[in-house]
Amino acid sequence: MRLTHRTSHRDATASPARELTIPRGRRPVPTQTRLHTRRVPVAMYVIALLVIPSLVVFGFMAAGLWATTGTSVTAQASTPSEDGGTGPAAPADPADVKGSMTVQQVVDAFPTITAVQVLTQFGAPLDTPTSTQLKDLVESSDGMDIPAMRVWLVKQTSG
Amino acid sequence: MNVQGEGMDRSLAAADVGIRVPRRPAAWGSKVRWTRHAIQGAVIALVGWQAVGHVASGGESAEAWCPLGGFETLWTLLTTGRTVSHVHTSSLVLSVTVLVLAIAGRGFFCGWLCPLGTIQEMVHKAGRAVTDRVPPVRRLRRRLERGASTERWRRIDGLLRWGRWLVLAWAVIGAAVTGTMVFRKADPWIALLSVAEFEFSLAFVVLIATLVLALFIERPFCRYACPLGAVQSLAGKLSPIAVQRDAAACLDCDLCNNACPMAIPVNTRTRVTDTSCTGCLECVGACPSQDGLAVTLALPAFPPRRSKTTVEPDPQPATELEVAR
Repeated sequence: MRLTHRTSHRDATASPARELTIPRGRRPVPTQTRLHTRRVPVAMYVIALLVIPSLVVFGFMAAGLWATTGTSVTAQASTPSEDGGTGPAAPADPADVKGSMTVQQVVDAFPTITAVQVLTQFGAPLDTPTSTQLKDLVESSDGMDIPAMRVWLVKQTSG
Repeated sequence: MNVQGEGMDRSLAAADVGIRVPRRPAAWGSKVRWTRHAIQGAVIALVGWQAVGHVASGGESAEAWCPLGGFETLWTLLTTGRTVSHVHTSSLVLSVTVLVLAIAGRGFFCGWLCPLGTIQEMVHKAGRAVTDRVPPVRRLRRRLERGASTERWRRIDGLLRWGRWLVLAWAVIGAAVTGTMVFRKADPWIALLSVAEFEFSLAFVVLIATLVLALFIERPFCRYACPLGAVQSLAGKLSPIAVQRDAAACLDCDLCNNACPMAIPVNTRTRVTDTSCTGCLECVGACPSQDGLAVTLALPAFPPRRSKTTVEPDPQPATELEVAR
């Protein structure tokens, strides 16, 4: 490791002298490359490397592949059903349940489950808002976590 | 380019004369450095705004902006079609983005964008400012710096750098086997994002250890433990961009070595393709020689590059380095 020792490099570029002299006997280790290279201006280097990732991200966003919350179940739950509700377009998979989902999203994704049942599983007061995220319920519950919730959902939906 | 440069070296060595090389414009290095810090500051502000929004109003978590999650969930995604907990498609998109960025610009993400790297840099600079004013700590730091140049410590440092690969293997294989993000429990970035909801955890211990080490060592987590840096190192091997040294214009002054936060011996390289290079350009900014170090793009279509250094014998050969003149 080299711990830093950068006391002089700022001064080195601040001198008004326009040329430097490489002294005799201080030649660096000889090196060579067979690559064909071209110098890139630093400004271009920085701008290009800021633009490239931005384009990639915006490209994915434009393609609808950007989501910062839970995926499949949430997406299904927010799909309007024929009666205008938010029921799932297809049967949801309990394995897709995540801590970022709200109680309401679980209820919407699994029509046979009620909010009271979910809150009971976590030992939460029954007047808890259904907009509460499951991970918040996990924190206040006594031993119930998301994997256990998935197992319970499997049992409920298969029964 | 250096094939010709070496021939020139030999002829000049035989003539036993000094060479005059153009000096880089004054404050050029500072401009590069402050541009980088401005970009780093903007990223920190963006992530901070995200994190505060998450705590204050339950908005989207800043974790959703973590590219490592995409690599951790890759196996689960390919085999089951699902992502592991705490990973959203945004993480997958950012993983792809980071890979593209590494292929295009090597370690640019680490040096210019990564908020954890920025925080380590800030702590290191603050640490230096403080330790320079406290004599006992200053003596300890100087003793450490002297020790850092020993062969023994270099060996230890080289060994510790394998830690990145071990952590990467643990994170990826662990996530594949357990279906959860095992590295999350030790991730200092998660601890930092959750600092408002303080909880004593392994991640918090790693964060504290990282920040304490950063007082003495630049970017300790990046050097020894960052799995994302390891992934980028692999992808960066394909990158045509690298800092290149012109041996004919190199003063062998060590300023580039001292400036490198990852302790790469830049003055022994032709192209800095080390896996730990963060592309921060501190070495280029520190180089007093106009043509000593430059960012270059290597493509087969380009003609061989020639050294721009003027090969004129110095009428009054210098006897010592005139960098400080």
